[in-house]
Amino acid sequence: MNNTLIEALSVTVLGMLVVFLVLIILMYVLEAMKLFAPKADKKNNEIIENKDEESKASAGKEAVPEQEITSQVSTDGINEQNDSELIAVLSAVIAAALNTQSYNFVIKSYKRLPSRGSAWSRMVK
Amino acid sequence: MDFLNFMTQGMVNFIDKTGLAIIFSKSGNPLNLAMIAIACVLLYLAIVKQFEPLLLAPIAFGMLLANLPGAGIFHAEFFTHTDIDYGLVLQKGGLLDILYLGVKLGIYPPLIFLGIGAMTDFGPLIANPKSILLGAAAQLGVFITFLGATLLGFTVKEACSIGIIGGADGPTAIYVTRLLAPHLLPAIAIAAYSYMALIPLIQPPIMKLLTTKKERSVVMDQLREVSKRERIIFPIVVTIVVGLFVPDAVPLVGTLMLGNLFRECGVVERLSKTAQNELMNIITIFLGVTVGATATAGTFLTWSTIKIVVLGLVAFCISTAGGVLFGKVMYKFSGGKVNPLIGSAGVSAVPMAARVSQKVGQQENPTNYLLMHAMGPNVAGVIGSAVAAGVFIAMYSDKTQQAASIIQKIFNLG
Repeated sequence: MNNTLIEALSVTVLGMLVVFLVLIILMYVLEAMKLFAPKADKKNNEIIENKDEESKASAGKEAVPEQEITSQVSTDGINEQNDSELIAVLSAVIAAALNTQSYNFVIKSYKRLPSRGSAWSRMVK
Repeated sequence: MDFLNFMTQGMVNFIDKTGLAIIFSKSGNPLNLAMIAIACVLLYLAIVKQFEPLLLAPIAFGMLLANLPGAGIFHAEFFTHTDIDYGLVLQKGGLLDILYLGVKLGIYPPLIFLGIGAMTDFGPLIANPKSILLGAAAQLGVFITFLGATLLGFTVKEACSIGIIGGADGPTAIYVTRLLAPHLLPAIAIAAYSYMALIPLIQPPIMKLLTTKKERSVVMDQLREVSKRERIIFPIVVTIVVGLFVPDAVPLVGTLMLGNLFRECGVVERLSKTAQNELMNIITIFLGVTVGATATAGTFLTWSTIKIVVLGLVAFCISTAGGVLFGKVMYKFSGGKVNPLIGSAGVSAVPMAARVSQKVGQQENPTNYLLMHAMGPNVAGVIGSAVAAGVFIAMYSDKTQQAASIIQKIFNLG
């Protein structure tokens, strides 16, 4: 019984020590990680930019029909602030029209076209 | 006449095979009815009182299934020997026997940790690394209860499994118990999950008792922003550090951090979603039902179950107190900048424990928002209890031999 008690006591002390030791080491490691903090955002932006460029390069072939189609899409009355939403909608439309996936092309630009018909036909639409 | 005889015989055979007949036959155990009643109470707690329903509901139903006599859905006797015949389990086992292998071989708890990792935001901990110490202090209950359980006559291995309830971490408790004291698994799992559900009742009185009004109303400084790069490096670094010091904690901490890396790295969103939703849910069902199924009358209706339930509560209270007391130390050393209430969140029940800190803090000062500050010790508690589990396993497990014998058996099967 005495032996068990001594064993249990030593495990208790040792266990607490190990838990504290490991977590204290982790604490210092985490403190050290702060060094990575300031650079981080810049790096993120770089990654995103690179990705854009890569996808543009891979989209080379498809870029031509995409431009043709976008040129037909009328964007009358859409607020410029909703750019990303608008581009999402446009790419979905193009993907459907070309029967492909939206990652196969990149929308480089879009332009609002003047209406072709008369004021009457616009109203009818 | 033959026809009548045949019919009577058929009826008798059928009646003999009904559950009711089996219960009251020589081989039956009327205590199964008591277990069915307990299962129904647990179902009530899970559904009406919403005590950890995601786990308690499957656990309770597993208990119900396993205690229906004659159903043969789970054979506890397959797993009672230290030397399990895995061939027999595969050939003769019912559904739950096969699923139980995931518990027995320690597969489910790490997979649950994968999901928890993918769901957990370690940002508050990275922003305030000192809060990790509270996660360590809240393991006090684990070791003190271990000591208490040994004094009460449990074997050292059983005491390890009972103590780990104080870590307030279900999967960790299951992981340790299945290695060190498999026969206590149902009692420990049910105690651990019930107390996790009772955190909002258990913790506040202890927190209030140990702190002064002034300490409770401390408003902490806002946490700094954590960059994406730090979030990505964090899981990798933690795995390396913990792995080098306590290799036995790697299955738990490693999968926890893998899940977190999935979440933070931003390039495997699909894996992250699967880990935190589908995979987690599937494993929760398997784990809950099979752990419940191990609660048969013979193993559950014993004095040790009652002792475990009491000791589990003690473990929980001491862990809470350990965290709060260390919070007070940090309050002193920081010149009153740390609110000791966040210490109680060092027990790892995420995010309930942190919510309790928030709630108790707001009772003193309604404009005080401690939640994010408490999340730091809270997630540190997960790492802390996994390390504590690793310590126990390193000291008392003969798993290397066990693993070797399992491999040998699998080869013998072929």
